[in-house]
Amino acid sequence: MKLKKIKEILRAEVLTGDDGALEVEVTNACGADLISDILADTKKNAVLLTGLTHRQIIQTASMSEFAAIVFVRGKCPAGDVIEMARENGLPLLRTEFPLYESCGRLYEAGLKGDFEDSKGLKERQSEEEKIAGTMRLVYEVCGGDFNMAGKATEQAKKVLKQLGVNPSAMRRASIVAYEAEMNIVIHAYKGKLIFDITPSLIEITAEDEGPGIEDIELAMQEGFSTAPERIREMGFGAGMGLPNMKKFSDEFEITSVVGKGTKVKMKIFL
Amino acid sequence: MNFYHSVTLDIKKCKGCTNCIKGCPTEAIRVRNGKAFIMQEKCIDCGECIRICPNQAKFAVTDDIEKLKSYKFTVALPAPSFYAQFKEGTSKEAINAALRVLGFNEVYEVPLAAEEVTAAIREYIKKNRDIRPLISSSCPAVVRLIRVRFPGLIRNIVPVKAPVEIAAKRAKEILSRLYGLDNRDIGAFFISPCPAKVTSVKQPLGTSESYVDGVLSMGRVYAEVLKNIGKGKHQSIFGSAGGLGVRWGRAGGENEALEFGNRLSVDGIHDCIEVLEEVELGRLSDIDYLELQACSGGCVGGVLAPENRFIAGVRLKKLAEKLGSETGIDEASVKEDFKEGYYFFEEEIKPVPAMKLDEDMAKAIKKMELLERIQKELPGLDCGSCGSPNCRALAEDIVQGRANETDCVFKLREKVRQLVEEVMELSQKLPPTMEG
Repeated sequence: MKLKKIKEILRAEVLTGDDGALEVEVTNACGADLISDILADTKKNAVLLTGLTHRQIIQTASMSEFAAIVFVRGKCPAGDVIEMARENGLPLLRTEFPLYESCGRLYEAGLKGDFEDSKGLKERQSEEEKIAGTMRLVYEVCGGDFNMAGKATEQAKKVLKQLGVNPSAMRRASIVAYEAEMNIVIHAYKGKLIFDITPSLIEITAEDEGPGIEDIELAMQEGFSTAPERIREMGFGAGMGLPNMKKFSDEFEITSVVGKGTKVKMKIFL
Repeated sequence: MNFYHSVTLDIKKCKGCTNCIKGCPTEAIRVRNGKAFIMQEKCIDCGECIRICPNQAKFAVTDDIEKLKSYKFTVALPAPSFYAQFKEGTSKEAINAALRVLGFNEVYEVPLAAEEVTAAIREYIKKNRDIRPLISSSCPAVVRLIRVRFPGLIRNIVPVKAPVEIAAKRAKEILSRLYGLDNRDIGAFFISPCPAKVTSVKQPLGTSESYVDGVLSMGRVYAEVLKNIGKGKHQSIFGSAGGLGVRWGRAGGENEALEFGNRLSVDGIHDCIEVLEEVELGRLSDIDYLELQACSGGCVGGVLAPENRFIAGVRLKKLAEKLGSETGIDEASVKEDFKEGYYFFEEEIKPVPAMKLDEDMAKAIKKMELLERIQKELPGLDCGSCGSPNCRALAEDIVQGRANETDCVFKLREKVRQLVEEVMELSQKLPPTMEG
């Protein structure tokens, strides 16, 4: 069913979206007034029917890849919200019908959900969703700045806890990320600490611009360190950084170019 | 899951100011509809909000002294910190005798049990060398803090029961042996400096049921004991604690009594959090034992302890010195009991995932993305006027459906300004039928 048709059935007013946008083919719909329910919706090419009109609804709908939003019960969002939808290329419609009747009218007109015949498909889809749902955290790390050292890992830890990463993976991720961050602070000019998180794994990448490592095999040995005396005096540079990163991660990869920098990639499976 | 909490809000007294939400170490409090409310799954009963509230709207629920009447035989279990509440020179014996006057049949000094527990912890540290640092389980607010905010460190907690539990257990064993009393007829009452201890009796961690039958507020009992100091005499059938056990009442005392290994002692809930963050990064692995006390100054700093924590701290130290390091505990028999498992938790401590955005991680990731986007749009002043402790917490509350963007006063102001602009614009427009 075309969006144009939905507009007719619901006698809706178009708040944003040109004629081209109204030609979009919609095959499904979601009616909800709770952000968490909308986020949990995995339908494709669907229109969202809702009474929520704040900014987050635009962000939520874009993230969940809805084709359009129809505001029910005659609700109308503020100007800046409409503007935001326009920027996101998300068509907005508005109808006087309440949520229940709006859904009913669309259903009657043939826009039926696929809940019954797609249960199997849905499970597969949500599996795909799980793989697709990745979150990336990027932190800049400044070489030689011991006052800020550890801050990136500390912030990432908070996020990992909120995501519900299990305690054991949490502990290992904290340790390897901290060691990697400290290595940048101790040895490099600057670098980045990147966390890519999916429901099945955490991938931590530490990439720096620095002197690089001449002999990686030697650097991987416990107790070997090139850290200068003043850093050892601070209690760092015991030569356990890289071995610990390897020990506590499930997959460990290191590449380095002398005079350019080092890249460490670590995976922790959940 | 239901959570029991001793820390409670007196809704009549709450003015809806935002002092408590900012001081809460687990961000467990929000102000909504002009009143504070405590999120049950996040609260750890540390009592910070009781300390902070300028209107005394937060209080700790404890048992009433009337409850003594429900038992045939009652035992008082005074915390080590209790003995530091009275003026210098007041002996333990005089305080115990006054407790008798109050209606208790017997007194089992919790510091005595602390000496036994000290020996058990020492054994545990010696026998378990693969996890470092090991963390003390004696402060119940800290154990709950770890359960909520640092679940990865539950494995570091020494699974040895707190002194008050061992005190109640011993007292009941001895009473049933000597007098043939049934456990149900004995009421063991802890005289507590803190609400977290009340919670750990009503909803214990590491065990299914507490040996303690009631928890009395130290402040209330203090008032009664004070009236009766110098009255009565008491010859206890139980032993008497020495200086080592008494030391447990102040920060660092547990470590002093332990006399073994590389030890660190930290007090004050926010400092405890700071050090736990470091432990999580694997940074304190050269420490054998970490004593953490949620209250600044240790148990003498508990919200139910009436005397100023500095004064009580000095008194406690002096009392401990006077009592010396003699102990009534037989180390060999503690080792025997240790082998038998006498001191250990009976159940695992399970994490409370109160920080999780969603049970399903895929959904949690989506929510987190939304949270970060919302946070970027908030002013970042962490003013607390919205009723959430900071902007990030408000973003979390919005994602979880507990708040709206317009709860932020700055966002609301922006909205109003936009509305005014629109109204202004419309007011300029005239219907075609009117003259311009």
